[in-house]
Amino acid sequence: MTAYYFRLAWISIRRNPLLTCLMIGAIALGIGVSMTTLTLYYVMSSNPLPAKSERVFAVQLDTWSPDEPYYDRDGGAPPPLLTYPDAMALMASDIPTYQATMMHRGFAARLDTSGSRPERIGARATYGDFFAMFDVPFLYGSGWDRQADERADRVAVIGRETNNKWFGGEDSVGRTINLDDEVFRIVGVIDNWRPVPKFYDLNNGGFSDAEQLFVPFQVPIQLEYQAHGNTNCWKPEIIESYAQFLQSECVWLQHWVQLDDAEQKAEFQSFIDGHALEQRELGRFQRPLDNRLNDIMQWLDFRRVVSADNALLVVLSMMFLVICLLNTVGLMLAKFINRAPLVGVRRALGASRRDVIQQHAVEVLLIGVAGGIVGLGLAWIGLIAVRSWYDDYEYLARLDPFMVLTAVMLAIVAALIAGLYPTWRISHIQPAIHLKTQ
Amino acid sequence: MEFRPILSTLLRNRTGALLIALQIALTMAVVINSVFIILDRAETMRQPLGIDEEALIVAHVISVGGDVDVRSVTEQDIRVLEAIDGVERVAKISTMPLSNSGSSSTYHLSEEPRSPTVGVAYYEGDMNVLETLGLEITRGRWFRDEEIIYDPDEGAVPAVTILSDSAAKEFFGDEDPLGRFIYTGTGRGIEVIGTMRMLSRPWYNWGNFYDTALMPFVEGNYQYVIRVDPARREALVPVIEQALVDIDPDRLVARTRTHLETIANTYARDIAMNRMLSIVMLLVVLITSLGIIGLASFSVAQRRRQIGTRRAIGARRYHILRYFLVENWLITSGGIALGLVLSFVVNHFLVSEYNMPKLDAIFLPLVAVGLWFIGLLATLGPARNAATIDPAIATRNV
Amino acid sequence: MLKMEEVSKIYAAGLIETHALRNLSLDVSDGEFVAVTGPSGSGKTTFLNIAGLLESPSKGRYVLDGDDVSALNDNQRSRIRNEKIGFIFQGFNLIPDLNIVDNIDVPLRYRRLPAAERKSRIMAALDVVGLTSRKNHLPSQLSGGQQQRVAIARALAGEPRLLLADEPTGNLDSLMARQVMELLEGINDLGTTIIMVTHDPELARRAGRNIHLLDGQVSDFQPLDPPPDTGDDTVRDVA
Repeated sequence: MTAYYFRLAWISIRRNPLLTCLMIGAIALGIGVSMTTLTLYYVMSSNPLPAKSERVFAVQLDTWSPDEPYYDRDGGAPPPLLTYPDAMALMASDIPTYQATMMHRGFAARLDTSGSRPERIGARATYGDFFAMFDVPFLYGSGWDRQADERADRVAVIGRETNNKWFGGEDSVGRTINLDDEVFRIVGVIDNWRPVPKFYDLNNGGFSDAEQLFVPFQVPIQLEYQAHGNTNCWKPEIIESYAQFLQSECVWLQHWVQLDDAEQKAEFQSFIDGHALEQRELGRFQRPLDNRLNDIMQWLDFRRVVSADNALLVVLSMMFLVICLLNTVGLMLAKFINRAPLVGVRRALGASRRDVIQQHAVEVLLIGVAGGIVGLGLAWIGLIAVRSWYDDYEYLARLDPFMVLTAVMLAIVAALIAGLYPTWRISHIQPAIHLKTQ
Repeated sequence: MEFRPILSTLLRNRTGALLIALQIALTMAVVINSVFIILDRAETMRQPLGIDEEALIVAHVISVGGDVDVRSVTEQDIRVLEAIDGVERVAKISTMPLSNSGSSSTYHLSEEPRSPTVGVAYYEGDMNVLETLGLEITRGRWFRDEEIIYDPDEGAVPAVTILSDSAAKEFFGDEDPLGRFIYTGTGRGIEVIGTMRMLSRPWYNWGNFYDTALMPFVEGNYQYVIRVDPARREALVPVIEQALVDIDPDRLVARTRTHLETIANTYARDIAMNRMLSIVMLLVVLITSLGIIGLASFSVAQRRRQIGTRRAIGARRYHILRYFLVENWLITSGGIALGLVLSFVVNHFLVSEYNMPKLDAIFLPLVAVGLWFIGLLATLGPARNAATIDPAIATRNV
Repeated sequence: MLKMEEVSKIYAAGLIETHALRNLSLDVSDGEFVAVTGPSGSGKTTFLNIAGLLESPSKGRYVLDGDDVSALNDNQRSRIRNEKIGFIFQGFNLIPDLNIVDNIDVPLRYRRLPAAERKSRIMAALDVVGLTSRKNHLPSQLSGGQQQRVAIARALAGEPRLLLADEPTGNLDSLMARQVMELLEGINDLGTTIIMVTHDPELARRAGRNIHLLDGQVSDFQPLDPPPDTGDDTVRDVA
């Protein structure tokens, strides 16, 4: 019987191609627009490190001004960055499985000083634990050890793309590069690694690519560099040297720790609270105790990585989908009611209401599937447009199998909802009325 | 007019009319809120910066390693660049309006650390900044050559500053700012020697867009801003970059681009948002129009016989046309009435959830008139079809 | 075959009640050929609709083929229509998008018959009405008479116990009308009960029995010259 209904649906679709196209078009547009915004939203709010996102924490210490909180919202929240002295105090703890303080900094990089021109390359200065903590995949070699961290060794880990550019993709471990006129030895090459969002540093755009160069944290400190990112200060202090800057209340460093269970987390929480209370004796940490450990998803939420604009687009596009559905309801109703005399004949010849409902449901289903497929194409085009409008959305606005499935399911559900009332109406017509000729 | 019979017919065929009215109401809510956001962003993006941005190119040059004499290097670079045909003036500056990176600080009104403060974004630069950016001095004077400090010590505080009119008003109200001082948190005073008409901040979404100050400092890693003939702007970008490389190939020369490009980059999200909202709005109107056409055609097809009968008993074509237009007008009006309420409900939600601006009532009549017009336009085709129905259909038997 | 006792049908439209049938009692035996006549608005079509289980009586009892069918639900009535009743309409009511075979196939599909049996029944029915050569045509490619013969084939294919015909020749010229009438007589001869609504006294005379309706009741006297009928005597509802 199902095959029979499919045949009837096909005949009906062919009989009214324009109306059918309108219905498919309405559903497709609704799906296309809503899937474009939903995909953006979905990717933006995705988990960049699913394997351990609940065990890796961004540290917040409330070192801010006693007069006002750093964030006004929710009755005040501590700054997202740490001061240098606090970051160093945390690094001295051996509670976390891994931990790393870090900053972003640009370098003038070239292979060697003979001939090649320097180019600007963004680097992450951090501790060797960074790679293990964030499960960074290595193509060649590895990160550096604690000793290299302590001695500020001139070692570097480079990304696959940079390795391709400078070394033609060969194993470059042991080779050297020149950064700001100093020689660095390459100890590792990381494979493609692109956490979306770039959770560990949201200051330079939450969706920019991971760095292609990593050096020990103490290297830029020795070179007396400030970070390329946000540096926020609240306290009037005389800062006439780099040493004074390092000791100041300015916040400018990201700090991440890995804590594998609740016990370890509690221990570290009491460690940082203890540090804060100790510092309070020295005149710092004058705000109420508010030191936080945010796991990755909490952190992305706190930093509002998904912008209000994206949420708003989802709301508006959902309203658009509803409009498209109302449209489809109207068109289906028109089409089905127009066919009432034929349904009347079928009812007279013995079709039950269920037969009529099934026949029309199959037609609605076909329209839904077609709308979903066309809508998927529209979403694909929409995402190409979105990628061209935002330069950092290159890897963001892409459809994955989950979203493809969601789109088709959404289209079918949408079509079935749209078809519900028209199908009910057509199955409840009085056959006798439609049998007499006009 | 024949409102009452049309209305009673409508009430008996509720579903179709209700569907259209609901679509129009939702369309209105989407369109009004989108238009409002679009105009709000467009207004933000239209704010003047106080500089001649269409004539400016910015280049970043960083010396790698070793100590350099910032003044002589800067002067040499400027000499070379100004010799290029099409380049009018070159200055060295810490950052640029709307470049999305820069510094701001709060300054006190007195040495007393508890005294009131005003936050300003500050630019540091050389003598040429005035002419290169196209700033306008409104009171007092520009810097003197000897006031410009090259490669200042870490933590040094300049002796003099020029405030924007807006910042001067924040500090001193309507009093004369010349000769007055503003103070750092550690109590060091900076004399205000002049004011400029307008200079915007490097970022636009944190308020106080025009509260800025200029400081006479030049550091080695500052950027060059180059005033060129706007007609040759794009062509000069590679010429300028090559000239800078040729001076010393061991320096890092990066991100040479027109300032308009930088501004477009800064506004990229708002531009994209406006594009997406415009597309959604356009599609909403399109879909709703098609819906109206579809259902109007259906309603005409269903009533062919009735229309024929009306024609047979003397209704003129014009009456039939009018009938359908009035019918649609009634439905559209119902939708608009519902849409007014819905628009405010949606806006209220957007304001509370997403910090969107509150709806301005002035848009409502505009969008309502637009929807009436679209409704009539969409009905016109089917209504004209109805008007051409042959009166003989009334007496024909199939 | 068919027995109605005190059947009434009342249509309520707003405040106005229309009594389409008033306490109608009627008996039709197996194999009869009954013509139902009456002026416009006399309740002929309502009677046929109730007889064909397209509508339920407001009051009274209706026994079809030994079963009381006056209070069945929609689903059960659909089933009886499908298995026991065949319809022939004035306007043929073929489905325009389906060819002849598929049109005849419709009631058989709803009976969920296997494909082979459906096929043999369709071919047999086509043979009876003499349209085997046209089996792949669309209704629009046939003349009115041929279309009505397809409709008859469709009714026959279900092998109904009762055939209900509503002005079966109303849209046909006299030659075609005669062919259709002969076909119906042939079917009746094979044992199928036929009830035919008509306003044509000529046709009515060819039936085995005439029932004349007036104001929703069986009238006892036979008018000599029935008034012309527009054929439109239902109380219409607007969908």
